[in-house]
Amino acid sequence: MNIVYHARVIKAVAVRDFKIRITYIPWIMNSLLQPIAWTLILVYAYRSIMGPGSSEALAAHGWAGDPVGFLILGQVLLSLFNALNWRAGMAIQRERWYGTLELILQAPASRIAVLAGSSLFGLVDAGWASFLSALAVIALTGATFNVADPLAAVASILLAAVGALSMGIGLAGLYVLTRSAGPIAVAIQHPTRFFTGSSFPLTILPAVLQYVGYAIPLTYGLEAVRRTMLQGAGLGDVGPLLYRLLLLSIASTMLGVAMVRWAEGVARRNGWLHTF
Amino acid sequence: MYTIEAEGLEKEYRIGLLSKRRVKALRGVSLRIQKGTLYSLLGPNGAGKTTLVKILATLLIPDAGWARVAGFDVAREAVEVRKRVGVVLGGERALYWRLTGWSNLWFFSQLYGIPPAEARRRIRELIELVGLQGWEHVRVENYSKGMKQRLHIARGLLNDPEVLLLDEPTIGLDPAAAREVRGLIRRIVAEGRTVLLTTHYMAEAEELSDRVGIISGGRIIAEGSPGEVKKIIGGRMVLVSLTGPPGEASRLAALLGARARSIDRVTTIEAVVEDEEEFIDKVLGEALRRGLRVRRVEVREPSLEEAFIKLTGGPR
Amino acid sequence: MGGYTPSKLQVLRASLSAYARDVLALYSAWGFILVRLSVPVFMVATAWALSKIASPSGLVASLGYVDYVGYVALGFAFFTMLTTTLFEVGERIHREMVQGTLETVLLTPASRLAWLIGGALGSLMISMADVALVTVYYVTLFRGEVHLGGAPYALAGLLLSLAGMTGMGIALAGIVVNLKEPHAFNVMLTPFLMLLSGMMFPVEALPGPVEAVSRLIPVTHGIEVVRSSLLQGEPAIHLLGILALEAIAYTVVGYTVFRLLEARARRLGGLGSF
Ligand SMILES: Nc1ncnc2c1ncn2[C@@H]1O[C@H](COP(=O)(O)OP(=O)(O)O)[C@@H](O)[C@H]1O
Ligand SMILES: [Mg+2]
Repeated sequence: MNIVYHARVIKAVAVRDFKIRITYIPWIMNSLLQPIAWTLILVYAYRSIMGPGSSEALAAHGWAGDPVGFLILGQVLLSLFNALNWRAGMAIQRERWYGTLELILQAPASRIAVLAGSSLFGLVDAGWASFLSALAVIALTGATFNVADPLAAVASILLAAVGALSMGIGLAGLYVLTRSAGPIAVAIQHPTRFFTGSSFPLTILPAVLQYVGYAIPLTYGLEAVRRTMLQGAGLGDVGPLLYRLLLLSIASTMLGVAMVRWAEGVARRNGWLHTF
Repeated sequence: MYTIEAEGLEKEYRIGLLSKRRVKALRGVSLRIQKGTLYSLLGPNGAGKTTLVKILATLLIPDAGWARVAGFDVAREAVEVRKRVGVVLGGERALYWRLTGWSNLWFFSQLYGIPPAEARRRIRELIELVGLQGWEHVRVENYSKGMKQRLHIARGLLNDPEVLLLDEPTIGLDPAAAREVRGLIRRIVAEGRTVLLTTHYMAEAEELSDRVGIISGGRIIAEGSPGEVKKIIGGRMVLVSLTGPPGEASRLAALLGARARSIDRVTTIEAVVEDEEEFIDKVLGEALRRGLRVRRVEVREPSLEEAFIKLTGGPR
Repeated sequence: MGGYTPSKLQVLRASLSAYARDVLALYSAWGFILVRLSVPVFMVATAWALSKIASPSGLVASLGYVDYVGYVALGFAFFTMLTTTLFEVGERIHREMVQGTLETVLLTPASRLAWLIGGALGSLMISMADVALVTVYYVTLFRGEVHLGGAPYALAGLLLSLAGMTGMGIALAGIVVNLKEPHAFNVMLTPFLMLLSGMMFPVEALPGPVEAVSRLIPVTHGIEVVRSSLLQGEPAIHLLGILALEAIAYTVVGYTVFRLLEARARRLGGLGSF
């Protein structure tokens, strides 16, 4: 009974998010066009700083050849994160904007199920947009991929998505604590782009900055997806990456859920539910 | 058997995280509401009505005191309470404007774990009950205020609650829409539900309630049936209409501590008093002295509004 | 009762003070300050990371720009400044629509242009702060060198492209009056403007037809003038003429488009329909 109930809540939240989403057509176009433009900007930036053919400096960091595939995969996963940042991360803030937060919390439904519903929709919504925009860039630039172990590639993509999702939930725990969640959600996209190495090989950065990157689940997902899809790596090669990714994701999810619960308690004691 | 019971509820708000400013919203509220009755909580803005409703709805945890709703403690058994109460917090927001009325109700029905087939039937019934047939598949952003409020009430009834908490359900509605909502509330009580209604409209409380509590400054200062509440203050309402030198009648009212209202050249002095004969004598004597002419004298039961003004020391 | 038409100066002053109020309300939230600071920091930092894989045979280097960080820092700063102007004009109109004051503003016939330009001037001040910020990052963190001798040319280029962008902004305002989601429109447009403006790479790298389109946007030439003046010390003076022509053309076209689209919104009841 309980499982069915939770499943219904998850579904209802996801369907609601979908129904609201399709009333914002400009934003849907936006989620398709933005990644295309960003990838193209980086592709042209790479081409015009590297000169004809490949760059030895880039090869020295382990990514010989045309960087297009490298950049596309970076952008796909970054878009996935950005969408989940807005869906899962901002799920509570969004109810606050709609004025429905108190009604949601007044219902006996599990808060985790509600969060999961928003996350699920975010995953699907961002997934198809990222995929289509990646296809568009591939068509425009002619990127090539090298997959030797499809299973490893699929596993990497799935776990990378899990990593992005866990970050969204982790951020939800941060966003409930502040009224400036909107601007922070915007601001956080830029350090994420930088530190996960979505636009360049992370090894370019000095060690101190790399540590920041390796504290982020998405960084491992990105690395694993690129290795399996561009360099033909197998499960054995990316196993350690996926393992760490999973651990970090679990930690981030648990932290986010704990924070959301704690914040709800504080808000109920202090009367901040409608304002906080 | 009481469906809502509260004892010594206190709640203090801190304004901001760091600020030392505090607002005492409830200062020991006790309340008993019998099953299947409508209880109106009447009070001016800032009296603590919403705070009380939110505590009963499990949205706020009281600092002191306890409350049981439908047999469960609101702080310790919040989930059980949530299953059994419906809440309508006033206001235009708190609905998904981009969704239809039906989708809004469907979404919340699922949060309450209502099986799909039953939910569909229930939503159809509720849409009929609140009179939104023909509008259920229109986006809420196109609803009028009154329609949104009725949708709110339908939402509050989704889980077939034993207890319905209505926080100022008619606020901001035009008279016709407010009348519709009041009719709806009457039907809900007739179904055997227990309703707690907050309002600052006296006529509303007088018209709908089995019992009325008057709340002011975080305390319930009077309680009883609408008739009893009027009796608690004892007195009678006296109205004396006067004509004569401009301003004289108002000065007379001020002297007697009564209210004065002027229409055209007739000024009516009104007051709720313990001894109406003494008061009338006083008015007539003074009126003669000041050259005022008495047009009409009326003595009647005070309305709840008048009782309310006397109890809370005038409207804020 | 006699009608009262405020002078352009009065409208300008009023709209500037209204603007200042908006800005203060916006920036009192520390979250917004965070956004304002983080975007330029990471933009420049990304350029710095990319500069590590730059090769001397690359297009940027062959155009005479030795330092890619400076190339992007200046490009980004001025890009922001110019596009902020563009969007502020459009968004201000949307704000007035939401507040229900748009019709009041538009009903005073003499004031429309003054009001629109007032908005652009306001946003200019904020963008100036952005430029200063990026320059400070660049000079302190990356020890970049700037040819101050080229500053007058850079300023001229900047002002001309600002005029052009204001013209475009007015046209955009016409579109916004007909839309309910101006913000989505702006967010959508920004990456494409970035792509076409040559903010991160020379537009010569784009395919021929796309490059031609990019040169029609005042930002592109504006950034080129600023870069050549400040980074190379050899201002691309010939571009100033083109920029001036673009500025005039966009202002005329922008205002005409705005009037047409505004009339359309009025006909369809789009104004004040919020
Ligand atoms: N979340 C809150 N934070 C701080 N003060 C509050 C909060 N909610 C209500 N108050 C204050 O508590 C008092 C009671 O408010 P409320 O319960 O909303 O009264 P009512 O509903 O009768 O108008 C008021 O003085 C109000 O300003
Ligand atoms: Mg209230």
